[in-house]
Amino acid sequence: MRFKTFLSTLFIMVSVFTIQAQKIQSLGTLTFSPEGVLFAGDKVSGAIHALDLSAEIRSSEKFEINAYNIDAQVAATIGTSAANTKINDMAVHPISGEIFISVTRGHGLEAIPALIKVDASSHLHVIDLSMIKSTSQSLNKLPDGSQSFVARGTMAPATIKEKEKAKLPMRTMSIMDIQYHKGEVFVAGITNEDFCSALRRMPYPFNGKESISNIKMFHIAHDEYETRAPIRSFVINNIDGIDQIVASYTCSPLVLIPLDQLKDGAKVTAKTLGDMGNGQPMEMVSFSMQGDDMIFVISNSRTPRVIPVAGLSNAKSYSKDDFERGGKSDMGILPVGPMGKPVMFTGSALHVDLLNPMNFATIRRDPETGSLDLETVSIFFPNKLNNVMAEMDFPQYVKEHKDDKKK
Amino acid sequence: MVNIGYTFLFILLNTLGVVEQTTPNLRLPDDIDGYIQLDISDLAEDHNLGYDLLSVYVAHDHNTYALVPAVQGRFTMVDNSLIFKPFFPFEKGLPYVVKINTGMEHEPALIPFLIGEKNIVNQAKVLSIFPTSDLLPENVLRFYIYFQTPMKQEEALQHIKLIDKDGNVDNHAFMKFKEELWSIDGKRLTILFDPGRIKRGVSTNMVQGPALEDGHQYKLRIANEWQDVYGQQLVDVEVKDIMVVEAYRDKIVVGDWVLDSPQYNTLDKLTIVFDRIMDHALIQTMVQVRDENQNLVNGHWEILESQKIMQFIPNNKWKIGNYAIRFDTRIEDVAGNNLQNLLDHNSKDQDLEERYQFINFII
Repeated sequence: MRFKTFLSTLFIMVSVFTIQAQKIQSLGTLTFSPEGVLFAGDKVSGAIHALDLSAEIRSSEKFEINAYNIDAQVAATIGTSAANTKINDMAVHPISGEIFISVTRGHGLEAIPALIKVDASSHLHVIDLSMIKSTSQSLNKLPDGSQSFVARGTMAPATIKEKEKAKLPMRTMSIMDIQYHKGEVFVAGITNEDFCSALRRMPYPFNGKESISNIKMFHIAHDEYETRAPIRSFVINNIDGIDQIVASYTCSPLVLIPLDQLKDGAKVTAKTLGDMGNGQPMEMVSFSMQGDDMIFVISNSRTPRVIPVAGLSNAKSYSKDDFERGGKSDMGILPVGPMGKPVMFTGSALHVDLLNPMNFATIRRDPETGSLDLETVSIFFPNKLNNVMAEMDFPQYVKEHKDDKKK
Repeated sequence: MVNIGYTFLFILLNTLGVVEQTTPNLRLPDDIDGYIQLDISDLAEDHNLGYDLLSVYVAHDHNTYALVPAVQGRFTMVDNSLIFKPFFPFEKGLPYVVKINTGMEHEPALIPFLIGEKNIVNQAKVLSIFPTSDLLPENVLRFYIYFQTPMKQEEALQHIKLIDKDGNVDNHAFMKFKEELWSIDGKRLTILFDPGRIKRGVSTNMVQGPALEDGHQYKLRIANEWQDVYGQQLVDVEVKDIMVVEAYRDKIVVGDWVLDSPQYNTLDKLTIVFDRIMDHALIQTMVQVRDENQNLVNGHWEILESQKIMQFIPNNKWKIGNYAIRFDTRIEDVAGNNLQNLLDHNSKDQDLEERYQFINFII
């Protein structure tokens, strides 16, 4: 009897171990569950890691985080130089409100992952990963890293940077974005197939099961149906009464995919709601402004955009029949559809998340110096006054119509 | 200026051993996985034993430490010493400063240190040139050159020359591509003879003649002025002697190859002797051994004697049964002829359409 108990305990230990066994080889895309579990994409080991940070507590009710030269600061805490440090993503802890940053220290085969916390006082802390309880889910059908992209060249001979881009293994696109939603983890990226654009879904706690659907969509700017280039970023919203993925692609269509269509092996055609204009979306964040659900989208080539979710309900689905043949650009008809409005921003955003209901936290490049800073900005005025010099900055300035309100 | 002066100062301090003399109770790390040890026997009992006492900074210049956070890690106590080990290893060649604040002096002590030299990369050199044989057919198509470190690209043909026995350099022997043919890691270069000079009846072949001629000797020379991506020159000039023999003009016939099959219940090598030198890069990935149930036999290939012999070493002992070696018909000899056809085949020649050819053997 005792032996049997021992055996079943052993069995449980072994099966738990297989879920936990994955070594963290890199930390990329991050997202939190509302309970404080941090999900991190690891393109090197080909897994999603779930790091249990649920014990983090809120030390201060309301705070701003401003950590300037964040790359140099992160480098310093891990004992290296900024040139040897790459910031991959950031996410705000849902309970503590503090910011977690995924980092790669070093290059190539010598690269090591690091996780940094920036606390309510804007101080940095290296998280000792060996002390964090974590589980992992290996992803199936991942590109093996042997195949790279092609050098296209634009209107001029390919530059060194373009050639470097072409040398990237396709595996670098295997995990583009991760979202947690009602007990499941959703992962956008690519598989090793020809029709490779994919959405993966897996239950959390992980049980080794993963369902993979391939996603096809009509690309307005490119005037074609696309099956390879993956979703860059997505959020999950209730639209038209059902939970749907709102996803953005390069150059920059916005599409809807109902969660109930994401079944293992399914080939799903997304509904194209419009195009935000040329460029490449980087991240999307859900937030609420005066009671209305909104999506904040940052791009590597354009100013951020605020899209009201209400505009996506009962929206027109665009197809090939809606346009004349040929590529579309900003100089022509783009943007198309209910794509909200472009808004000002404090420099060029690389990462963004909602710090609290009133503020975004962002890692952005300073428009003046190019420095990389972690900064807090209001959702109503997503800029900092140090970036602008206006009439009101003059000492002689007296506000006109000062008395109008009193009347 | 300040930066250079400071760096110089602490290299000097380290060299002279001044650091140890001024702080006898401190031990600095001597390799990247090391730690910092501070004897705290003389310290007030209530002194804080964390970063307030001992902190390490990455110090690019004399005051950077004041602007960036300290390197983070673990503190432990061993006897009367406080030990600090960073979460991540130290980096060679990166200047650090230890700040010790015992409260006994007015100012904290700042002790710079540096570990080893800048990360030393391997020497730049040619590891091998395939085909490795000196005897090559007149119509050899390509060379694979393996380097120890990634080389500077877009300049290969300035450094790689084909020279005849009288010392004449043939500047048109190799194809000039818009983009050179490098492996992803930048360590393998493929160079091709201009196929126009190999294919019979093509204009460059008729005007310039073939790059290599049967019965003649040549040298393939790689100049040591060529630098790798780290700016290191190749350690030596690399010279490969070539003795040209008759061109491979006959179709490859798998049946011409000789097989030495292994014994039952052994780890014997399975040996294939080719009738010609095969392209080493393709045969390694395009030849498989399968059992009678079409299952892949696990093992690895070794290529010997200038690619004329290939041996399969199984992971497990051979079992009794029927086996087949499966050759992808795209494998090539060094002249670029594959199992489907000759490189300079006549347009009316029929290509072999099968994807694979087999040699069967029984154990």
